[in-house]
Amino acid sequence: MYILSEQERAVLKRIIKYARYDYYKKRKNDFEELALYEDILCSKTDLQTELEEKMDEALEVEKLEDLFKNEELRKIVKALAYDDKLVLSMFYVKKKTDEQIAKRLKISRSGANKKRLRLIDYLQEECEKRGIKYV
Amino acid sequence: MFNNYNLSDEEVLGIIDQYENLIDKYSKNSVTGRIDEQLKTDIIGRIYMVLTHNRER
Repeated sequence: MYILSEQERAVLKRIIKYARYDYYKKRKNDFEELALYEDILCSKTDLQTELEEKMDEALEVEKLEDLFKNEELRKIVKALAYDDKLVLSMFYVKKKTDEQIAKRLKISRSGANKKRLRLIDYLQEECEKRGIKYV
Repeated sequence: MFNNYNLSDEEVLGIIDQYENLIDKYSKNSVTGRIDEQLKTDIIGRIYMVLTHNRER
């Protein structure tokens, strides 16, 4: 039987960790879906309703850029991360409060507020850079 | 190290048996807490590939 030295044990552990990292990296999309359902599975409310709400929300977020007439602005919004689009969609389209957004994103109320304001600043900066009149 | 990454199949299998607990620990799915068999297979495959990569083919 081959006995591992201290150094070899450390290398073996590294091999295992990297193998795990690569495995999850390959399956990133699958696990993003899992994350979508994770809080449904942990929730005590009606699963079917929660699932439908989550799917509706995902559809609305994906179509957020369609609300903008300006093509350049649409591109900027389309390039935002899912969570950023979710914040904008919840606040401006669904008229939710910062507290409701915070609950959905599992962050603090002030965190949700800061995130939203930072997004607006970012959009304004991008519009100025591209010479778009911010509406 | 690892006999210059030239271990025999028996030696690699011995290492995998010896460190099965460690492999199981890193094979657990972080969402369900259960062992992901596909992940475990991948890890074992990777261990085998690395520890024998200098073997003459």
